[in-house]
Amino acid sequence: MRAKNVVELLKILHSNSALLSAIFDSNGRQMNINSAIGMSNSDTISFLEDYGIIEIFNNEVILDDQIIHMLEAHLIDGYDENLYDYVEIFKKIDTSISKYYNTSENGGDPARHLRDIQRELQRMPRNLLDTLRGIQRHVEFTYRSASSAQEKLQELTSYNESLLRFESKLRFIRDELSRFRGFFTHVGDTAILLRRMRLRTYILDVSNTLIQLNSSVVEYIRKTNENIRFYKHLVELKELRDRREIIDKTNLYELIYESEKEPLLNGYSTVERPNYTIKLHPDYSYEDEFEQKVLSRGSVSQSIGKIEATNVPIDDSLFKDETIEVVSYAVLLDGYVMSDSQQNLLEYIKTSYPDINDENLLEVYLSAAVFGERYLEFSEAQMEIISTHMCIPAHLKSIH
Amino acid sequence: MALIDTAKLPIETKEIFDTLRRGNFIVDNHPDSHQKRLYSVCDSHHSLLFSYFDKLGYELTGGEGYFLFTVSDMPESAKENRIDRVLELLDFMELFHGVFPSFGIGWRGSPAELATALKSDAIRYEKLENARISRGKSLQELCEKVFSEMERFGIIVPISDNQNNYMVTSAYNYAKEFFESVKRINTRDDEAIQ
Repeated sequence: MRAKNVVELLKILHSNSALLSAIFDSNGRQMNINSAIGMSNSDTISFLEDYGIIEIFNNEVILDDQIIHMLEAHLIDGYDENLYDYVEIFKKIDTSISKYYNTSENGGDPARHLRDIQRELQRMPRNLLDTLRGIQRHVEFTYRSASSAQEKLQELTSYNESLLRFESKLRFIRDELSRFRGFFTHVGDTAILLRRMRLRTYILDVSNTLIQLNSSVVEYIRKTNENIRFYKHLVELKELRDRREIIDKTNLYELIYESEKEPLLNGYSTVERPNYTIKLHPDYSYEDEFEQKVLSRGSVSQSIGKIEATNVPIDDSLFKDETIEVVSYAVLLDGYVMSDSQQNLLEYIKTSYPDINDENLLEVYLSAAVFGERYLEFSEAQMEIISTHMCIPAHLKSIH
Repeated sequence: MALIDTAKLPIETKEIFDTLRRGNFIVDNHPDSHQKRLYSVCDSHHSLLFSYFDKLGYELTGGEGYFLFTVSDMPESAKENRIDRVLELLDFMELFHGVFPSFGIGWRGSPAELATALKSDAIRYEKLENARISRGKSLQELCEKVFSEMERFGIIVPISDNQNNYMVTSAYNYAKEFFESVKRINTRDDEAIQ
């Protein structure tokens, strides 16, 4: 058995607060059963056990984990149950307002009643938004395994309604206080004036927080509704899947087969793409990687040839990426430095890659130059180009 | 061909590339602050990174709170495989939403909690026992497997609290958007049957 909502749970906790507080404060959040019965009675212990608030194990009364979490959250959040019981507070404020007017009209000292109004207002949670978050946490985590989304939604909807009543009541107090012209501006006494100013600021503050709080609750309810709708959709899809009709009766197949772009996601496909690395920036390039970057088109063709020879049909597209020739700047520069030729770097690249077009030649040259600037000497004009760090966008270039 | 000034690329570029290239999401609510930072970098340098990765054949795609790579040259075999994986994900999503009604971005839970919930939900427990992943596993092992599969989908990530807890990341939005786009067709057949 579980409490139906937070209000019911709070009532149970409140009426057994002495016992629960003692268990909470004990070592290991547990207490000997005889001591617990001594503090209350066996019926109460059974009742609390039925409601899942405590567990009894080896003659020890243990607080339920979720209740401990809730109590801890309460301590951390400053959760304030007054928000559920503000009707009583407003009643007192109403009385204080009436007394204030009566005293003022009779020529008495109204300061005391004004102080009462302020004190009662301050009994409301100081930070309403934190309180709301606390309540949401309790609803979500304390009851997530016990109640359905609809029940939570119902609770929050009624909570939202009570907030709206709260807001209208607050407006009523403000109007009441302003009912007589000059309530907030009439200076009779400096202390009263100050108190009135503080009161006005406080009401304004509570009103603003309340507006945020309401929008937050509305947003939460929207999300919960959205969640319920989505779950319903999932259940429908799952039923189709269980009946092996999901491909025939939905657009799932089209979504996957007719999409132009595929997500590259580890979990959504077990097929690995060919692995290669890139050079991204000369300043933090990864030299080691470039040592192994020269892939020749020949070796790929050879690999394909070998597989074809076994008469196993293969998908050529798997090798598509490997037709890319990766230029290793380290190897290129090594070759250049070791060569006896009198060619400059540009000429050397041109000789090494006779098929290269001018655009690629420039890119390869610039990238190689940037990569090897520590080892090479350049003219001022060349340095100017290099200093712009205009590296090729990708160092994976097909050289056709 | 327009050149890109790589000096303007953020220093995290390679890490972003490696993360996405390995088939992972970059999300805005990762419990690891460094991972969360990668999201901010992707977000603030989106157009530059997009152009850069595009040259390599990867499209930097963003959704609500996440980034991923999309490619246009996925082999046919991968697509077939993807249907199987998507259906598996459907099973898990339905399970989590059914057991934990507030399951969604930011939700936290552990395999132990799933095991506890399944103990009192015989129908779901039985369904899960018949699933492909369940062969020869105890309930706890099975729940751990479910969580690790969800982690593989990128939807949940472990939290470093030593209690085997996980958290739902914004990658959940990707799965949600995908399943929401799955619509019923051929409904006439159903009507005829009814």
